[in-house]
Amino acid sequence: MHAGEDSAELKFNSRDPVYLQVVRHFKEEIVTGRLQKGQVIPSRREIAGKLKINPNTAQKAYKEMEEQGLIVTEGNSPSRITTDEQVLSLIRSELITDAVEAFVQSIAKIQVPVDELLAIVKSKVERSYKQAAEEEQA
Amino acid sequence: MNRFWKLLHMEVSRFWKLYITLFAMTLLMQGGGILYVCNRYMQTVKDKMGPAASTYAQYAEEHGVVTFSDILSEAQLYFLAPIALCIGGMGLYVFLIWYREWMGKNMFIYRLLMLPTERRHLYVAKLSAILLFVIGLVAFQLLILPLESALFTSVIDQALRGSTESVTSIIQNHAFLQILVPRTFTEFVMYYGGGALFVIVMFTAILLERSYRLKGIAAGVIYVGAAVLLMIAPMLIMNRDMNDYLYPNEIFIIELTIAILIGMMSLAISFFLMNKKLSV
Amino acid sequence: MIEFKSVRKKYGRKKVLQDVSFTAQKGNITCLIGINGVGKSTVLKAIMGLTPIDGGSILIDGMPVGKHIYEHVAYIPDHISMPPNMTVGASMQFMKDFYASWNEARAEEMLTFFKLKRSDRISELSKGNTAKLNLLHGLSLDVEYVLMDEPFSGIDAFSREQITEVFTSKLVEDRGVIITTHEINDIEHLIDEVVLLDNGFVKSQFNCEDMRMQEGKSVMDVMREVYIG
Repeated sequence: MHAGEDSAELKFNSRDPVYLQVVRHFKEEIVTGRLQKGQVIPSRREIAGKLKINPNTAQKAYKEMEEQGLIVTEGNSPSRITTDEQVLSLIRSELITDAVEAFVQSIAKIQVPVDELLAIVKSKVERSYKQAAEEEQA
Repeated sequence: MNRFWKLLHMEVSRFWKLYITLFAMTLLMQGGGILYVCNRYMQTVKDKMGPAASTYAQYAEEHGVVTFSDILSEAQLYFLAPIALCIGGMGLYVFLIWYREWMGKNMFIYRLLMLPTERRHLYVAKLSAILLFVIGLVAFQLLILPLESALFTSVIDQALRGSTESVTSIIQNHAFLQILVPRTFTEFVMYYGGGALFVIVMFTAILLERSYRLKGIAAGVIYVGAAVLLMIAPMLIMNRDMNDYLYPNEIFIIELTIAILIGMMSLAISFFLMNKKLSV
Repeated sequence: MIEFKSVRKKYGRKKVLQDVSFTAQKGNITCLIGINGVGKSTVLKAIMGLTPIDGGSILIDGMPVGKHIYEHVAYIPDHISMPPNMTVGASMQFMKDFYASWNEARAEEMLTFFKLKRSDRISELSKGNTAKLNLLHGLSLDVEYVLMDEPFSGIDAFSREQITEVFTSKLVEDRGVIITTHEINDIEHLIDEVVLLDNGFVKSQFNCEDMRMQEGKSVMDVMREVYIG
């Protein structure tokens, strides 16, 4: 399974830097397991073509991922997802924290009791996962 | 330089079909005209032959013989019409060779001006193409003259024909062919140099128009007018009384000098316009 | 780097460019945006020496415009500029004959990618295929800069997609690219730099990623501010 295959559906928003959106996309792929640790990822050129972005942006995204230790590139061989477990678990917690923080920020304004909130979240998330699973099968 | 030849080759190949059409038209009209006139002549002879002149020889003795030159002047219309069409066509092509590049939605001029070569190569290629085409047409005319003469011999009975003329004497006996194929070098310079100068001056006017559009038309007309005025100035001066002291060859030298000056100036202006002012 | 310094240009009395200054770097895709008739094409023509300017200066890697730039800068106008009765193959031969920078292997590659036939006459090509051949002529030159005038306008969606693909490929990588457009939507994520033109002036020049990073604004947001607000 290659990262690029689903990536074609990646929709960018036009207000965040594209390269950061690419980095985030890779993190999501890693966290969901669509990209395995140590897996070879497409070249900068391939990813630019697949995501319909400019090669400069792809380059910038890869550089950012290298700096964050997300991917490793040794010499002339293709880049791979890191095998560093610590980094991988960090990504997972980062994504979760980011999402939860955003959620908390907006929900805080409504002051919903925690139990009620958790129940709603539980049912919504379950429904959403189920839908995603069905879509994948279809 | 290599690219100049490629440009010239391209100009020639783009005109090729029209050029062949001009050749074919000339051959057909002249050949057809001569055949028609020859046959008509033979018919007249046959009609006029009576008891007094029962053979061609007798007829010839009484009415005289006919030469190819006679037939040519009889077939004047058929002979000169295609030449006039060729001249007209070439005259038109002097404009078309430039304006064609701006025509249509494709506008080839974009590409031509972006070629990594001196832009004057483009100019010289177009100029050479026009001159080549003209020389080619004249050469073709010379080439088909013997053919037309052969048509004449095949239709007109030998007894009716005058002494065989050489191509040279045919040309010299013909008021117009004399100009196409000049006898002296001076005449050649006059006619063909004059023609080339005409093309060069017209090119300048065209480039003026292409560079400055409406204002360029005015500039072009003034430029052509000035060139013509300069060319005829010596004659104007000479025709006045008291000043009639120049020999023909002196006039020729003066005219030649003026022509060369106009030509050089036109080239300089044209190259400048092509490099700095021309617009797609 | 392509530099425009206070370039002025008028057609008759109409001042198309009043004071245009911007730079386009090698390795970047710079996009000239503006409504139609705002002078975008004129900017490209001026770089190529296809129309004289009335003032200011244009430098390409420090050199003024002249015949030597044609092996370094390729211009792809919004129409093909080859005689209509030429065949696809002949038009490629023409380019090969005149340009030392012509890359035959790349031309072949694009010919296959675009599924064009050498024997087809240019006049018989569909709009989309004409645009593709036009692109092939320009992109098969090994040049440092490529200028494209409205590469996406007036062609079908499929051709559009193929052309977008070209943008993200090695064909434009490492080159300096300037494109003009009046609609940004399709290519917002493709471009590096934006130059907003209006009424003969440059309203703004910015880097798209920097703009998103620092101000959280999309190209459209900036355009809205400049043209409406």
